[in-house]
Amino acid sequence: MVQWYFPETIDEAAALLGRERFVPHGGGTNLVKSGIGSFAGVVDLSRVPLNYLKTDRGVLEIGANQTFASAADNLSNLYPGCILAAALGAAASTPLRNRITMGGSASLFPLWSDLIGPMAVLEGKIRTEGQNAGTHDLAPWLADRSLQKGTLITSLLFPDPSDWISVYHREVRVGFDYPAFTVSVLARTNGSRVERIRVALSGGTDRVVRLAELEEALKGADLAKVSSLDIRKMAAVRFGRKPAGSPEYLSEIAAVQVERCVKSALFREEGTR
Amino acid sequence: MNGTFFINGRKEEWSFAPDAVLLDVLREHGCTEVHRGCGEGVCGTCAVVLDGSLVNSCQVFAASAREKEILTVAGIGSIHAPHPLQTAFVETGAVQCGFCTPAMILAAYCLLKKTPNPTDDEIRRALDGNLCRCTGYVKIIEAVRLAARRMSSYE
Repeated sequence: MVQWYFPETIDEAAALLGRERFVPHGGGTNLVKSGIGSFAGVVDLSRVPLNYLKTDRGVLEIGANQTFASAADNLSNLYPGCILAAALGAAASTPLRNRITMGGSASLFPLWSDLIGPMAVLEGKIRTEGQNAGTHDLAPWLADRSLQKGTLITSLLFPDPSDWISVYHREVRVGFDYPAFTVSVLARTNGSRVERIRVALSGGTDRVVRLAELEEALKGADLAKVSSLDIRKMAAVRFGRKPAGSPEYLSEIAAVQVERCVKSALFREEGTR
Repeated sequence: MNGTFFINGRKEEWSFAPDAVLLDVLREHGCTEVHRGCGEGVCGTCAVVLDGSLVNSCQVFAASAREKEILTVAGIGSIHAPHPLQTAFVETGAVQCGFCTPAMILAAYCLLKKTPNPTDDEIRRALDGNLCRCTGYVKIIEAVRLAARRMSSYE
């Protein structure tokens, strides 16, 4: 029969997670859905001191136990309008935001978590302890699930997000619906030029993609010439079939939303910051 | 396994299976005001306040709720001494079949604790994830607005 463990330190938790068939539980919903019957131990992380959000020398660090609701509230005070606050505050519903943790989302990046797009554009990192202790970039973390074996996610790290114009869009039918896709845009303009821009689309056949061709075409571009670029073509991403629509439909509307978000970031800077 | 739970101010010692969710444990021990809807965290009818935060009890393992304060709608008022939210729901006709009502009231209760004079947008946002399938949400939002007015005039 599965046993529950309630470690109080990071070391204790990491040691437990190094055991065979032990699984971490941050408070979110995934284990409830998947069931715990096949595990020998559930390591409840609620007493491990990972519920914090702090900034230090331009780096924002969010502890793995912060819920989306707490993180969104804290971020709204620290960096009003930043893409992380917008995304985390919009994910799921109020009662679920009170349970979903940053660490759980960084482990699974489930469909209902709005974390992955902002992670991609902010170039956030995942800090871990245990068997694969270290600081991991998003792409290798997503590509190699074995990095999570015997590992405790302790925090997520982001460069100061206030230095950008942020635009975030989630394609939903009602507010707390699972998004069909999300668009994350960070931009910075300098006079009449695009100084830098990052665009990510999540929900396609790749979980998240940075639109490199589009970013390259826009970087340093004269704002007056942005309208002549075929943004939709550069935002073409493949989708699978979803309740929200066919692959062709989703691909088309995702490209339209990318264009809208990019233009919103570049031409309505004050309103979207 | 065994655990201590603090339900509406009462201390309870309950036994439950390691994979039991809080919703089932509450209902098995008589807290039937916590309703079972979808069981997937979508409809919100099973909402309770756990250590001050509104959560879907169908998405919380009972094991992880041990030693915590749990508030159900029965803990905020009674038929003889209803909470202003409960009165407002009745007066505005926001109680229809009643199935979603306990969770709606708890969601509104959490909102008004944090935001005593909420805007309509804030009310809608606080109640997202609480589904009503009778008609709609107009009377429910009206009830929260009325309770907010009354509660702020008491203070």
